[in-house]
Amino acid sequence: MTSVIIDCDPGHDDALAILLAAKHLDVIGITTVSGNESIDNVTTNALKVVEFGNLTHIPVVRGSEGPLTRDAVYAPHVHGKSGMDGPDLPQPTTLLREGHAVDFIIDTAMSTADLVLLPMGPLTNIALALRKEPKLRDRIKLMSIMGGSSTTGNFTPTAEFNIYVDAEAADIVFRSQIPILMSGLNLTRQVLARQEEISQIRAIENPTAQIVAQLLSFYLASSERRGAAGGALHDPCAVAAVIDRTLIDFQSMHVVVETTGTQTYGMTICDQRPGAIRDETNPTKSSWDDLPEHTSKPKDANVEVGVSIDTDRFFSLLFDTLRMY
Amino acid sequence: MSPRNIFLDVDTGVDDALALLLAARSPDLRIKGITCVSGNVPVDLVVRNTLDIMDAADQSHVPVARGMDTPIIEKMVNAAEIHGENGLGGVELPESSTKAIALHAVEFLYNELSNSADPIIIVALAPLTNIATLIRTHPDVLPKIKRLVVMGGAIGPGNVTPTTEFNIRQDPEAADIIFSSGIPVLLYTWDVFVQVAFYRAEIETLASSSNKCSSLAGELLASMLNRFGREQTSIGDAGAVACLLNAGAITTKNLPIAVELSGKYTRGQIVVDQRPPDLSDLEEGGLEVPMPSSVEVVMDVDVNSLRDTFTDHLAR
Repeated sequence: MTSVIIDCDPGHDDALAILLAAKHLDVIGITTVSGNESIDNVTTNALKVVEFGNLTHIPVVRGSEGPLTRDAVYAPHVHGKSGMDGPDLPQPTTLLREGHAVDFIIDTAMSTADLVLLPMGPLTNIALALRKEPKLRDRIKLMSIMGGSSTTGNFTPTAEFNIYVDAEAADIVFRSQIPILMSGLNLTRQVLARQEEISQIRAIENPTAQIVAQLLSFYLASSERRGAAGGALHDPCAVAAVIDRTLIDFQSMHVVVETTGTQTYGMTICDQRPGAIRDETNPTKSSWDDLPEHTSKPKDANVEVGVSIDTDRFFSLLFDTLRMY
Repeated sequence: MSPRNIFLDVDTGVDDALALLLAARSPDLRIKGITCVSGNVPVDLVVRNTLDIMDAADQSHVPVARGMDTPIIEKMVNAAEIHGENGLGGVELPESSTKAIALHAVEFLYNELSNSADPIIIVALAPLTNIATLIRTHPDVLPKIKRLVVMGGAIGPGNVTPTTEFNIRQDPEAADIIFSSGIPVLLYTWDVFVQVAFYRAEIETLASSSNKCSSLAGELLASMLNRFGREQTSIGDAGAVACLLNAGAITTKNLPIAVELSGKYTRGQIVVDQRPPDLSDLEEGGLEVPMPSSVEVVMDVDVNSLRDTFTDHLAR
């Protein structure tokens, strides 16, 4: 079973991502990071998730309380004041694992073969871990990241929230040379929880599924208020990519993070120009090689960017998983 | 309907040549003047090519003025790789005996617009250096610009960098000046630019036409096919002129816009806000992105209809 750490900021879709991962992957720990809400709130929320999912065997470790260089920003317009509004959940009694998320990630990576990271929030913890222990580059097999977009943004016209909040951290992570699967908004907006999907979850007769239905009802309402057709299940896409890679079509692209733009700060620039995507049958040759001098030539791909997802199979996986609770 | 007066600002350029031919042959448009700017090729070559094309279109009476030879801040990077060393894809035209007028393009445009009783349309198919210089040096001219049709920018993938299109990337400050000027802009982006294309067989038919302008257009298009070994090629800038002639063939949307000036990867990118309006109005975690202006963006084109506009007008 694949060993993973989930680095997250619950968050409605983070909660679902944890539940999805826990039944298919060996979740060694859950680390938290300031993002959708304050570090206090998201850490409490992570504990609530392991409690209502009966997953208290998974340690929860508190992480960074803000981005590397900027002030923290939160997303109460999406997730409510607590960061996970909706169901009335008891204050958690489960204790946090001692220590800092960054050290937990480093220690786990150094002692676990083929560790996969599942970053679902701003990339602050991951960047700090990579800086603190450079050997991580060779220890981490893969990062399946929810973040960025190859098309439009959400927090700004061009930037997705997680990357925008800590673009400097994202820059470190995207330049780390660790293999990356990117589930950006261009992909995750294809997976919408609407009334129909929520009804199906409500029909699953276990307490965990009932709480999930309440979470998604709140999330759907806030999404609709912002003009979306449903609640996009961002984070579960990045988990699904590791559970069953065939659910998602990925394209190799060169991706960089803009950290100096006035309007484009936090944009993930995915080179999609014709010819920029290399020919799989002839990896040394790109049709771009024939193009003019004055253009900026694409660099080698550093990210597998998710471009489409089989939503039927994704929801089957999600519903089947919730039945296991 | 009497023809509409227009000015064209060009960096001729194979596809600028197609745009000039289309505008010259259209009974709906009267070209009052052409201003040249450095872009695809250096400005002196732009002037030469423009004069020759207008001669070929039997419109050598139209004044052609030489304009800015570098962008406002950066140095010029031409695109001879695309347009060939002569800027016309190697297509050789008889050298026109007409000369460019003595006046600088910016002063010419200022005089013409100031003296016009009615506001006039400008079609800008090049880096926006001339037009930006005009409105910075003569802001009183603003009310005389009825509409500025701009070919530039990319919403999706760009051409010179992952997110930028050549005209805007060449002179981002000029584009910023234009977009924040309040001039009504119709923006014809790279996204639609590439869609209005002809196939090899169609281009060969055009090239063998007995009509002089059609056959010249065919030759120019064929030069692009052959340069890049493609089976189809876009009419490029001519598509922006076709939009003016055939407004029914385009779908537009007013969108907030800004030009990124400072991004290390994104300098010269046009940023448009396509999110639902209330998302950008959020009080919490609100938009920190300055996007004070909006322009009318061509979002979709009826490709066949614009192709017909192109061939029909040329064949007249």
